[in-house]
Amino acid sequence: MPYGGKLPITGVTGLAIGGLVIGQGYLLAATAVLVATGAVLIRKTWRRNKLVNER
Amino acid sequence: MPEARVALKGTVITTALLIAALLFWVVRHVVGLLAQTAKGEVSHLPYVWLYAFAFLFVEMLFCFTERTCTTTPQQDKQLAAARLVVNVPAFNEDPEALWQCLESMLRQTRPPDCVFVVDDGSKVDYTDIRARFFEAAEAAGVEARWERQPNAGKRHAQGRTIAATPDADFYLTVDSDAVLDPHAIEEGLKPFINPRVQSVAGVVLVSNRVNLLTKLTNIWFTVGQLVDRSMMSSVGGVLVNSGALAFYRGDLLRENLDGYLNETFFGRRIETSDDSMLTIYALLKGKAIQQPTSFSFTLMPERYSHHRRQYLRWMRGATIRAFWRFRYLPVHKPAYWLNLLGWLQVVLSTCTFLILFVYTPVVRPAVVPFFVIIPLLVGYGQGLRTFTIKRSDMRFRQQLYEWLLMPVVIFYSFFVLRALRFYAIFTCLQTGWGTRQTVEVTANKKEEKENVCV
Repeated sequence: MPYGGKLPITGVTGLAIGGLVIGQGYLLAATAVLVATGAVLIRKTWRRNKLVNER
Repeated sequence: MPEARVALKGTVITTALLIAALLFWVVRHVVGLLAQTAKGEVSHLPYVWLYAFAFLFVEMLFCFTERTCTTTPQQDKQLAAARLVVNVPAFNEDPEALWQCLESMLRQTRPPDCVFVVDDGSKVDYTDIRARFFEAAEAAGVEARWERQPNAGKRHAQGRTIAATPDADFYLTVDSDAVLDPHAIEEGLKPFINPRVQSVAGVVLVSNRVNLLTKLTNIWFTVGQLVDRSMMSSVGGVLVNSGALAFYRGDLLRENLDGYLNETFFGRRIETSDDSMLTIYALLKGKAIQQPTSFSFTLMPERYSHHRRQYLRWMRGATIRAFWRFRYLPVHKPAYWLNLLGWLQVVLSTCTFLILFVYTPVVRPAVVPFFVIIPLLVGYGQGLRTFTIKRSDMRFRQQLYEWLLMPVVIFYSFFVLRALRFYAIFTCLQTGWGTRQTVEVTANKKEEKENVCV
């Protein structure tokens, strides 16, 4: 039940967006690219051709 | 035994307070921003405030749209006719805590059809508890089963129940220290009237609020469920059910049993994060939601070492589960995007945290107090949701006192849990439970018996 980490994340997201307005626009782009790349890589390469309930 | 219910008055008052506060701040800063812009004196802080509160506003809006599922008398009859099996996996649990768990099953307004205890090779003698359980179950008209197996882990204890009950329409999974509110089952089953709903999470509250650590845990745990999970539930995309109270359709668990019992991650066998894996199965087949009127009470670590191990286990599980979600959740489902946004938040907020709390104090020390105030206000705003629950073991004064502890929660989360989370991410291949070899938290005595190696 990993809900312990959610509260601070939510709070700091406000800061995060605010921080971007201050001038770290590059941060959003870099973060989005990093997470999206990871998501695509996992989707395409991890457990290829296996169903979710397959060993 | 503790009980809980939704506090209607508290819900109305806190909602009104929150909306009024949010509107006040948004209007104030929009007006301030426009005025400053007109004068050509724009400072950066109004933007920070505005975005922080706008974000809170959107999230709170979603979580307030979470609906409590209700049923008609006809639908109640349908649910009453269904067979519900409760699995109670027990491993070195305090006997009194286990007894309270079992007793709470037997005093439900909608009793389960079968309570199936699997003693997973405990070193604790449960002879007395077992005898009391059979006697009480017979009196309550509930089928009781108790089996013992060599220690194989929680999943295999659950698997034993699932394999032995092919006729179950629904399963309820609980932890062996969970004490259910008398209406927990009745309320928790109601959402299954919708055939698309595959799993239902209950709301888990901390019962042993005996020291600062467990009180802090109670706050963030409750707020996490009533804000983040409520928001996810409003779109049918709950990402993690609670191990202490979760309902599943019988077919769902039977279809996925083999994969569930044999999960591996880069060649390592995974025994932890059982609840989040079952939630993924539910999301793939339909909706995973939360029923905000189904409550359970559970024991949380009372010592830091135990708390740290539990948190690391959760966060390692969250890291592993991210792989499963990115790999298998369909992109057209909200759950996929909630997962993606969650990880975006983790990375982005950490970068910004470093800039604001490490870099900025050196460059512009005067600005820092303002940045500290923002998350505190956001935390207090989210914390108002705790007043929507009325607990029999807490007076309003105690709720208020714990809510006032929010700054401690925020700073603990910022500076301790954040570090632990990243440690867990980088050590996610350490997949053992790191949990009790003997009893750690007891139901009545407020102490732990140490224990353990990580």
